[in-house]
Amino acid sequence: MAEPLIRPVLVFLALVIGCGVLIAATAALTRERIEENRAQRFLATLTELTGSAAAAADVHWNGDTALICPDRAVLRGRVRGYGGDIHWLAAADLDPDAPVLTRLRITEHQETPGIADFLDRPDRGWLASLRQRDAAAIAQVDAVSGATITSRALTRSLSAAFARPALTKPACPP
Amino acid sequence: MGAPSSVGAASGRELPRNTLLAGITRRNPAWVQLLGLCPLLAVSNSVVNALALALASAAVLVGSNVSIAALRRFIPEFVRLPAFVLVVATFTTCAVLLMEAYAFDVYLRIALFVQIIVTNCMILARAEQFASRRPVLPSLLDALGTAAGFALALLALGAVREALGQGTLLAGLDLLLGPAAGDWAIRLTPDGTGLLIAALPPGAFLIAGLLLALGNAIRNRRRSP
Repeated sequence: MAEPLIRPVLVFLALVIGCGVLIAATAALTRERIEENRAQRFLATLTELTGSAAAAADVHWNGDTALICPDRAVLRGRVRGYGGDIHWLAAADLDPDAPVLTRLRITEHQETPGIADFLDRPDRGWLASLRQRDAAAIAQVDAVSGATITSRALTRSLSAAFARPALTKPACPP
Repeated sequence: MGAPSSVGAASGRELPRNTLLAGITRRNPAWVQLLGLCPLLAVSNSVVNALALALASAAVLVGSNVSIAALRRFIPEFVRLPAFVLVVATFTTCAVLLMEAYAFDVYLRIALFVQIIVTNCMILARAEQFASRRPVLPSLLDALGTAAGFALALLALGAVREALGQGTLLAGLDLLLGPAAGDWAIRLTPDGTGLLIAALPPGAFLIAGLLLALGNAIRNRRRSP
């Protein structure tokens, strides 16, 4: 009974190996370009946040915070949403007593398409309502109905990040 | 639904030209067999998205049909379905990687739907009904025909939905075909006057239903002189 099974199993294994080789070859061929695409996209988002390509290229991350002279900062964070991790990038104005959020971009998410589409529209709707708020004010923004887990996760993560003590004006050369 | 799923499967030999055309007309995967509707309805909100998914589906379909036809004598009967799914999944993964490398902006918009090509029953159906029983060349023609039929359905739906929903045609094609295609965009109505429902998923169902009815009406008219 075991005898006739060997050939089909071997054939199937050979097929698995063949498919694996094909995928590995494609992955090796495309890896460099994909990483370049991702890095470029990250830099483009950073440019939007800092306002200039020169500032974006000059960002030095210290943990998840990068201070920019004279009184700004860029923050990055990741929080578990409804469908997976939500990655965000935010620009902060350090001039007021408590740092306020000036711009926000969601760089990566796996939330339900259609329901969480507001994450892809940084300048309209709910995401825009988070602007000009400090940590305490962000925590008080109402969640989006129908996407409570998504929006709560985001306000919690942003609020915690903006309350970080590291977020003070950098010592800048005159 | 009443889709005759075995159309052409048991009809023995057919001419190469007929194999090619059948995929577009007689056994069009979307309009006649109603297969692959999930990506069809989800992605067809603009021509550029539709075209990208059509190209990716075509690549997977051709790759899987040809390799399954080539391997058909070696694949044991009782593991054929896992084997087919494995082959389809391999080509889908490759298509996803290639798209992420060479059409990154479009990939960001429709990534999920390119990934689920692997579960597109249209592709598995062609593997099981056609490629696993025929030589490589007819399988290639069948794949090309079926892919063309799927592409036509996608593009028709994409064009109607883009025109109604956003008031444009061919917008954003430069994301896929290079900067020269950026000028092809046609603005039909002023910005912001689109019919929102056409761009949203419910509109996809409505418009697909209407196009399907139109296709049936044309077929019925032809049949009854």
